[in-house]
Amino acid sequence: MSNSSYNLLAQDNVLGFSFFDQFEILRLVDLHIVDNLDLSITNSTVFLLVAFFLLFFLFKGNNENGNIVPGRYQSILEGVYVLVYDMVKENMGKDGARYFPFMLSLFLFLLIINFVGLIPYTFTPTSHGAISFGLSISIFVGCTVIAFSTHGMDYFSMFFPPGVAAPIAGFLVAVEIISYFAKPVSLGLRLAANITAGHLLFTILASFI
Amino acid sequence: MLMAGGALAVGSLFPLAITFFITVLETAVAFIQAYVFCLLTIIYLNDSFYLH
Repeated sequence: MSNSSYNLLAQDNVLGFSFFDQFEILRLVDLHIVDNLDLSITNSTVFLLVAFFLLFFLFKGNNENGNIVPGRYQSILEGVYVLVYDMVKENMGKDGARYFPFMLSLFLFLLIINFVGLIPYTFTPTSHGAISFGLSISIFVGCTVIAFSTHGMDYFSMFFPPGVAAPIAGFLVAVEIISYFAKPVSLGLRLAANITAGHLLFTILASFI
Repeated sequence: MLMAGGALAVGSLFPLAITFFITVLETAVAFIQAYVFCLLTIIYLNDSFYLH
């Protein structure tokens, strides 16, 4: 980002702060082990750890084996579990069972980060491209690796839908390749943009009070 | 507006009410975005298993 446009975004409003201050990454513990390797503990790190520990102890808050008649807390947990389970089952059928733990932890991780971020004066890591694009691109790479390990070179046939006339084929392959690489971008951008927009809306509306 | 006092202080209830409803909306958005992210992830995973 050029200096002038950055200054425009960071410009203070009448209340003496910028609406973008809430997205600022602050180094809480400065850790520069090697010259250009910044491993500082930032507020983003802290809230990712908070999400991690909440996720870790979420299912510990209930009776270890679950009660036959669920209480309030167990009902919520079962609701989330069934929500993700149905989602995986509808889209992948029985093959999806091995990816269910991943999907449940991904869903709960994002849900906890987003919900913790709604508390005033907290930080939302998913509003940063580094987190949401990091997730979406690693999922994209994982999907591609799985695809090539199951189909081998046959996977390239995905770029060429069957039953297409020859003149239009070259154009269609280009479109398919673009849409394939647009997947991780749309996945990460939607999450980051939605969360950022929501949090900006909060501060801007709150500045009117 | 609240600091200005008088009629504006009463008027500040309006953005406060909007902020309250936006909070409800954003709670829904936080849930929906997590859901959509997972839904698309499982669709992409499915695509890598079954060629069309």
